[in-house]
Amino acid sequence: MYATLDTSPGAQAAAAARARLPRSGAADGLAALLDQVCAEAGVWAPDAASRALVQAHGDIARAVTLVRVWAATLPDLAIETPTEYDIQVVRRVSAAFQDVAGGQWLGDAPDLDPRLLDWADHTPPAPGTSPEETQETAVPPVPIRADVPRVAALLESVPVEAPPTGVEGDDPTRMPLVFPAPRENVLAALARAETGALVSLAALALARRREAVLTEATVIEVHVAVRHPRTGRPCSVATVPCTEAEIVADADVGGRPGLRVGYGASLGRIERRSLAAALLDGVLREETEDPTPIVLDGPTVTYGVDGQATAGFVDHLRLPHYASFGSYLDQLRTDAGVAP
Amino acid sequence: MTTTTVRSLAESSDVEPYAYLDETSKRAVRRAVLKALCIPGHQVPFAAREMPVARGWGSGGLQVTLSLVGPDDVIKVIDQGSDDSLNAVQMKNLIASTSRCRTTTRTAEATLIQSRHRLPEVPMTAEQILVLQLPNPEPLRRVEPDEVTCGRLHADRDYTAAWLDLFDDELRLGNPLSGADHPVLVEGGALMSPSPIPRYDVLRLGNRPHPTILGAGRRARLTALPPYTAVAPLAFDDRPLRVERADGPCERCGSTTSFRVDAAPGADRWICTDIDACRERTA
Amino acid sequence: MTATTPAPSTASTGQLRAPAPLLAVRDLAKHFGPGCPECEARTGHDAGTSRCDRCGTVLALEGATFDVGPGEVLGIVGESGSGKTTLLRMLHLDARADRGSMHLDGVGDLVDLDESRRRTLRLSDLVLVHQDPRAAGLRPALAAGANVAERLLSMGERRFEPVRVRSEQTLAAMEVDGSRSSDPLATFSGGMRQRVQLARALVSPPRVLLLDEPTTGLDPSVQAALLDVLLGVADAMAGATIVVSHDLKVVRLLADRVLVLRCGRVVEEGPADQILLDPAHPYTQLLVSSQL
Repeated sequence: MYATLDTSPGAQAAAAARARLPRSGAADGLAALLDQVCAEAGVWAPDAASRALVQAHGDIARAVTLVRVWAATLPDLAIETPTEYDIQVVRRVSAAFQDVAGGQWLGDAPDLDPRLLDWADHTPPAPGTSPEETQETAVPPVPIRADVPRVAALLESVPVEAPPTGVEGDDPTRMPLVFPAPRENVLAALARAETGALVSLAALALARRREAVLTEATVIEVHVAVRHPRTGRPCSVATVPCTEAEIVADADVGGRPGLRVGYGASLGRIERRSLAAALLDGVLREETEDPTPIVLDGPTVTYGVDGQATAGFVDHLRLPHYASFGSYLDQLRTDAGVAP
Repeated sequence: MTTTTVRSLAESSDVEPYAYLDETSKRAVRRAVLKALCIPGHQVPFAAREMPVARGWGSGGLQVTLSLVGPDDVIKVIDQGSDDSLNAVQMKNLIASTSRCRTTTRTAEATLIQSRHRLPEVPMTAEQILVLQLPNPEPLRRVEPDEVTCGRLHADRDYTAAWLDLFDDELRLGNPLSGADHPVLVEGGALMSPSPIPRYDVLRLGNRPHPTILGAGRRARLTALPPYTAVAPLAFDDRPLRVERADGPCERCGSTTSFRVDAAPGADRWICTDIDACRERTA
Repeated sequence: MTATTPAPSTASTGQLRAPAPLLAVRDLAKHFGPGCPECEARTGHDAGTSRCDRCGTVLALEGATFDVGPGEVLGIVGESGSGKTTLLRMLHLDARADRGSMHLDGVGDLVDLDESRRRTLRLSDLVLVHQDPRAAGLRPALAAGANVAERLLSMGERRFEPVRVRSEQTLAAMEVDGSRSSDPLATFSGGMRQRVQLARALVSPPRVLLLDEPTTGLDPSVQAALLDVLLGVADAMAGATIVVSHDLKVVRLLADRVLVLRCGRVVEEGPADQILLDPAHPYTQLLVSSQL
């Protein structure tokens, strides 16, 4: 059953993990804002993001520029490419199926935040006294990515488009994006994209699809390691939170109706960024004989700039879609000749 | 005008609204509901209010429920058949706390049921009301992207484009690929989106003893079906709509007639989605 | 055709009366501009223009009068600016005439009908095959067979199988292979799309079939093949066919009667072989000698 509230071990682990993340600077309580600046800058540095926001008087676009410019002056260190064993999954949900191998857990869900403006005064706890920090009891280990298979890979009996063979993408801070570009470079651009633009375009794309279901959304913590200059041993230098999303959408697979898997990822924990990126990845890989353009007329433009509508629409993919997806899979199977 | 005067003006009209929405908003929604019931299947615009539920998450259905609920009501809020979904729970809490009504998870006990994408499987009675969350009220959106043109087509009852789309699916694929949002014809006239309910439910939407109201918050429109309204899926006479097939009985209650889905991809473990109905069967 | 043409009636005087024409056009006119008393005199073939130099009004079509009978093919020829496009648009009820009448047998005068009625008539009575298949309102994303079926569905057919069969039969008659019926129209070449457009028009034979420059813009070899198909279509039509073209070879092949337009006026009218072999009007002579 989808998303029981905060009693699951995963949720406790998530809360503990959240407590361990570094906090400093003036924009402290605005964790999501720091996430957004870091994600759009493409640099995980919450301290720098906090400083930049203050310096830019809260202007997000300018803060992002400050962070990017600052990061460009820093020396590059070669990192060990993180493997599935270096990644911990602190939150995992699937809107497609009730049960998925590896389990689902709500974790620190943005949906838990109340949507009514609270006028009461809250004094932040003094450092060292918050419940998470004083908790001594052992929390259950957070699962690693290697143990949590990707849901889309588990779809059987319906045609699923084979993902294109991966290549090593270019560093977007060094290589300009030139088309035709490999998918990895486009995904990197989407990962650093401005949040509102991502969501707006994704909402416009989503509105035209027959079916789009979130097979998996995860919030992960990536342990980044660098080799010690003398001993050569990899040393963990940072733990970077990211979100990933996999969305399956209707597609023509070898002449039959099937599904295409779109993937999106972003630094930080703002989930709609990776949801939007996954939707756009799916759209960009579609090849049709006669594409219907999105016309910028009155209704389209006013919808696209309605941040509440577009964000709500993209976010709603996290809601359970078991029944409707089950219905769609049934039709795909019928056509694929699997049904008697 | 000084701040003090403005504040005292605001305070004098500051009455805690019943069921979250102020009376003017509720009146507007109720008028729209009545109009929609008089012209079944026709999309009636209403002035949607900001809801503490994101748009696309049921704000339309919620506004309908809040406009209809009273302190003697017993409400049930479900999401794809489940009472425990986080979003459904939050909406139920908001409704109950602002209207002081009771809540239940049992369909039989409820007077007002708000549902996302499923019709309750326990039979409903004439004393109940069903509110459905409707993400997109326009059934022609896939074949005609321009809203204004859609309005004209509805006015002329010109649904050729929808029939053509269905014909194309039948010709190329052998069956419609509408998934869970198969358009329906209401009283043989208006084409309506039934909301993304499975085909199993589309065939159960007509001829109910109770009114059914579908609210779309994002698009700010309502549609409604008064009791005993004829509703038929858009289908050729010789190609009736086929219901979803489940390969096995429900794991929990053993039913072979409920709407079931595969619990996990490829697992072949079939489970009911209507949790209350499933529980009733095992009891 | 002769099987469905009503037999001539005998009046009480014992004389044979010709059957009523399917479409009777009388004094049809369309002007663009304020108009003045001298417009008519200052425009036309002798003036060499359709534009009145006194008031600037363009008399796109003026005083057009002709009949078309069931089973007959009428060719309308003229160069650009002759008024043939204006005439076609009025015949298809896309433009409203400023003067005159168009009487469709069994329906009445078409000139002043409201848009709703026009839409209905365009479905069943007056069907146009566009020069550019892309302008025809075909749907490239849908299967060819679906495109062909559109009019049947518009007219209220609610059974799948008979529509599918009829759609495939019509495509076959246009020499489009049945296996391509479920291919998306987007995968068809220009010439093939024209055949699909034709099939769409003929899936339920209209009372008046309007062909707008049916072969213009196609490769010569494709033109030849399409003309073959059109010949068959024209032969089989129980209703009237009107072919508008600037290409006299097409008209010579298909038409029974020809109307020659210049500067908005009908300058000559008569049986096709007569007009094209032995034209009377100097303009027609010019046209014929330059093309045939």
